Amino acid sequence: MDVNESWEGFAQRMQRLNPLFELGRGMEVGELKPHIQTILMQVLLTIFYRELNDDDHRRKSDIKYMVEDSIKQMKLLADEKQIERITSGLLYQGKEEYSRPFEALYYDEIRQSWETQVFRYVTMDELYTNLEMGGSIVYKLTDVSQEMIFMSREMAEEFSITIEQLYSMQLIKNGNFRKATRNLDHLISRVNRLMSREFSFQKEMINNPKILLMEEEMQRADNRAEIEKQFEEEKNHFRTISSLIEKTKRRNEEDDHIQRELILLQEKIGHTRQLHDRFAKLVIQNISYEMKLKAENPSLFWETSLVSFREHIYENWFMKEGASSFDHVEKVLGPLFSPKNEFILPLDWIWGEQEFDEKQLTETMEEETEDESITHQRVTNWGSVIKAWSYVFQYLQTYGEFSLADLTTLPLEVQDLWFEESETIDLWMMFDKKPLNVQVLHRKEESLSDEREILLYKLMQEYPQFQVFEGLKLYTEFDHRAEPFLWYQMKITPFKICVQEEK
Amino acid sequence: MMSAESIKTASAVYFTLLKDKVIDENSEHFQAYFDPDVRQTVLLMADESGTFIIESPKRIQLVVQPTGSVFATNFTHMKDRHKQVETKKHFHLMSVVIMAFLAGIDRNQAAKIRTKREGISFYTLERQVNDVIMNWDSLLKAKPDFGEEEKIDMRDVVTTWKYMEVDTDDYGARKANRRTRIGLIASAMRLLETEGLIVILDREDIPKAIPKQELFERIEYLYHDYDRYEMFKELMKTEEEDQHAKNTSN
Repeated sequence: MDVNESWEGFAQRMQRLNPLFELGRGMEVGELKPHIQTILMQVLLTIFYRELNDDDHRRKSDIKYMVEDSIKQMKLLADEKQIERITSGLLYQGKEEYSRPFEALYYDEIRQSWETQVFRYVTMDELYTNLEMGGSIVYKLTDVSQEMIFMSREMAEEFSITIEQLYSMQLIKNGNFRKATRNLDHLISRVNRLMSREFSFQKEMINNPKILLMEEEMQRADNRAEIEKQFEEEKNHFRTISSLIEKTKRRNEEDDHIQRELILLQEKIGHTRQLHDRFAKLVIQNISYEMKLKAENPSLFWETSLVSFREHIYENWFMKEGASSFDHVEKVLGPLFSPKNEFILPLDWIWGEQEFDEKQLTETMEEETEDESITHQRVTNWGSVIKAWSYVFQYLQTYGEFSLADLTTLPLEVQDLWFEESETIDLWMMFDKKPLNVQVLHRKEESLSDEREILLYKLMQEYPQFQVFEGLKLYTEFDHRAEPFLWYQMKITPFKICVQEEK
Repeated sequence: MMSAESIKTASAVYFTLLKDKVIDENSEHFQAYFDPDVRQTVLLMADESGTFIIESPKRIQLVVQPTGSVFATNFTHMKDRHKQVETKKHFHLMSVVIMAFLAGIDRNQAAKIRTKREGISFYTLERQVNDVIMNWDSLLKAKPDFGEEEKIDMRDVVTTWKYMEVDTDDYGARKANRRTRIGLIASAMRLLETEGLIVILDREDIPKAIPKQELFERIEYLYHDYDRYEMFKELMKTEEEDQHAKNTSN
């Protein structure tokens, strides 16, 4: 056979090297160009260690600081623009707005063709990015960049837990504790990696149970037994390490320095062990979840969809033919939304939900008396209050201020709204109290105490466009031009509500 | 036969859905719903009020029917607020944005998982919407009579978009600014966010919309079903025929 052995596994080698070759390539950073890879490698390492230490300071702004810091450490100079460029250059390829992943070519020796490899250096860390609250993305290293870090430690070959283990033991025997602890870092990272893989499999499985039927996943099931066996070995190794430490501890009782190092090492091993336990739990959880899914939802595994939104509705109709009438578009999109519950339930329905009593007759009597006590208690109809105020906020949104004097210029049916609920008018006085920093959007209604906050919360729920007020400051100013005026038997001193933009 | 007990439970489920949009597996109502009698009753209530229920292994969701319902939605509300001629096309443009976004995430499983991790940035979405509009623009050019009669909607939308700036340099004004494309996209995405279907990250920097599982379930149920697809087509057809009938009677 004249197969040249230099070709063996060539594509794989290239796919490992490409991220290194591409790191920082094509950035316009002037005199920093020769240093760019060193800077970025240091940034990747910083992210890596923050990840290991459960430090979530890994947002884009933090990465910017890391870049700045590395540059300073390396006794180089950079301006704001260069720092920005280097930061975004680690996150995306090309223009930042499009958030594109990196691409590199490699030659596939088996297919005998050029292929494109797509990768990123950092990716969203779901564990730390608070999806429910919005905010900023917390980044973590991808497999690709972790690999770069391992490679740079000459540990390029498959990073198996067992090899690491032996390595650690060797280090302990040699008394090189610091290096041993450091080595455990990589063990932790490896477990974290396995864990996140298992975690995303779980999510994927929940989202699309069909993947359980795919070829790859069948293979995965076979691997399960092996994973568990590995855990068993894991535990044995830990035991060996622990006893080794104990022995070394006794032997070096008088040396404080060694003792300290050993305690650190022990703590770290404890941590690693906990991680392994967590991982084991996750694996088992996934197995049971898989069983449950298969048993309870057999239909999930044979239903396949015939039509897709992208192809049938968007590409073949919307894009190709255009919209002759937007009513059609609304019909298509309408069902994407949930109904808004606006009507007030009849009392007996509500009560029926709370209790069920056969003795209807006596019940009605009681209901009547209860009914009376309820009418004595004033209940604010927020719907009306919000409707009245929506005009004010619409004004505020457009012009940035609204004068009380303008109330008389509103359409008469709107003016009527202002008298339906006394709270509507009372709220005016509330706004005159002190400025209000609007911070209600992501809070629970029950946690709001200020009436103005409740008003804004309800306004935002009702009219999403008012969410622009979140984060802004509302304050009042005396309207010098306007005279006090009479409005339906009310004498009003006019003032203006104003919006102050955030700086 | 429906018992009083199951009607009671069914109402509890239905009204909770009405209040919260979604019931997930941790809710007591989730278990209750899957009792056959209860489920039957809830479906009946849903149908009678012009709504329907989307079932998935983890949750049930309540949405309105395309032919309208006794309820308003955030979407219809938005439309009502854009009645004036000037801003109606903005509402239409927001519909285009939502269409483009749905198409952007309705892809094969691997791509779907990637979108779910990385989201779609507003700027990428702007490019996608632009593709549609440019396509329509050439449609209109090729068929000058396309804009006549009832087809006027599209031309309006195309012109508005084309003369709209992508973004302002002013960071403060970026928020909900209907005068720029990014501002318009922000309004459309906020609508989906309020509905609990997406999460918006990096709002102040390069905003991205990350679709939630709830949205994928709605897409799957609404648009991946052949019968429903036929129903949509039917709805559009009857409407067009209605319009023709109206035109000839004039």
